[in-house]
Amino acid sequence: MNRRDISGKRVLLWIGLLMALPSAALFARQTAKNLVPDGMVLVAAGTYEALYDNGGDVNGVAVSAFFMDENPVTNGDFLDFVRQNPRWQRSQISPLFAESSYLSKWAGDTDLGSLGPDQPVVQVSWFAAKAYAKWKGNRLPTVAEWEYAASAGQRSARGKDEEGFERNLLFLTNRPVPKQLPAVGHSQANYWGVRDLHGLVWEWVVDFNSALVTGESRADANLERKLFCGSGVVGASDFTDYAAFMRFAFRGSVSAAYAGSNLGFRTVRSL
Amino acid sequence: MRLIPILFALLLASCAEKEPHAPLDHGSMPMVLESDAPSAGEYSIYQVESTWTNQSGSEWPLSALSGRIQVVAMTYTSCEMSCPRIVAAMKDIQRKTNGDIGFVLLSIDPERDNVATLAAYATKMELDESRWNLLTGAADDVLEMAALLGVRYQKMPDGEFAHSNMITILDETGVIVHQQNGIATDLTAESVAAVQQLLDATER
Repeated sequence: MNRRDISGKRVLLWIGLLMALPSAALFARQTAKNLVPDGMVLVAAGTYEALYDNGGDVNGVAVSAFFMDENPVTNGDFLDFVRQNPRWQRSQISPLFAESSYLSKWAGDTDLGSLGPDQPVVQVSWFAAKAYAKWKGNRLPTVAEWEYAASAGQRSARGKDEEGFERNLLFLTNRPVPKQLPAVGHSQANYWGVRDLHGLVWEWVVDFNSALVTGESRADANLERKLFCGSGVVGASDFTDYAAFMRFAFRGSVSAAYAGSNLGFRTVRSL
Repeated sequence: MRLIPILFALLLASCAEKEPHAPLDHGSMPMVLESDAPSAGEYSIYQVESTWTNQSGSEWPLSALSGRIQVVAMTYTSCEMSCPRIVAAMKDIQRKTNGDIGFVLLSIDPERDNVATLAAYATKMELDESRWNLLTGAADDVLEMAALLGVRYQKMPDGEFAHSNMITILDETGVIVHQQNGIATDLTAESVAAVQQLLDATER
């Protein structure tokens, strides 16, 4: 076999590869696109840098890829849910699952009144949000998933590296809540294509309640510290992220039946 | 009060000894659903729609626990420090009350706690399986129960869990009638009193 033969084969191989690659990539993208559920976007796997030191060697939580609602759940979406699931209508719901402010700005059980169907639904309890997510075949995001998705900037998965990112978040977080909530989907999408993670409404996460024992809140911390099995270490890893601090403080202050007027949610789905 | 030392001595002899009011059949649990279970009031935690699997592999909705006073805690089987003390406190309640009471351990570690580990734990802790149900379920349903029972927990990087040591007493309809947050002896004594009060009310 001479040298020329080999290089000739190589050229053919390369030509074959070059022709195959773009179409394979296109095919993969098409397939992935077809698999993304309606109204959701794909958030690729990555690491959520925990705001609080979790006592491990590495201050990061691995997050698997997941689908996330592009927008928060709207009044219109939630209306469909309560129509089909009357036990979650405001006159039917158990006081265990929602306090009395639950959907109280609606005109009736299945009547939005003056509220717009495209506004984010608020005044929903954690129990109701969880039930809605289940009804959609989805679930509520974990703190790690939500924070990871929300830490993306406009151009990269790590917004912190983008100029003015944190200043903008703080501005959005501290803005007073307008009397009439704007419709969802009008803010600029982040790197993953998710909108309204900052500055529209607070959002429920599935494990909001589990963040409490390890120093993110003063609630029964003293009692717990002496008794729990694992060892929780208190200490924030990033003191510049005030917006995240505010979210953690907020999560630590609500109970699962809370139905606050600026608290909504969105759902996620595992791949 | 005079009964307590006698009961205590009896139970020291054998923790797993059958109580006089124990049901005859282990498998009777799901039957509760088909019988005339007391209807769940608006404060009953049995309104949840979640299903649970116990140490013998039976799967049923939480409402299958209705019809009996239940003493409930959220623990996990590989926990070596506070969980055995929670179980000990619950066994103390079992020892010091005389009636048809169920005991429930809801696992906060559904990843590791399966039917086999739950069954092994029941054996290891000498739990009378006609009265004790060790339950595992979906992770978000566990969170829902934690929210309803006011239990807080978080998984630590070493695989252990930080968690509240809460023991909850449910009446026959699934309404929370008493909670002790901690496992101190005087707190357990209050739980015993709460169970006894429920039993007395039922007898009347």
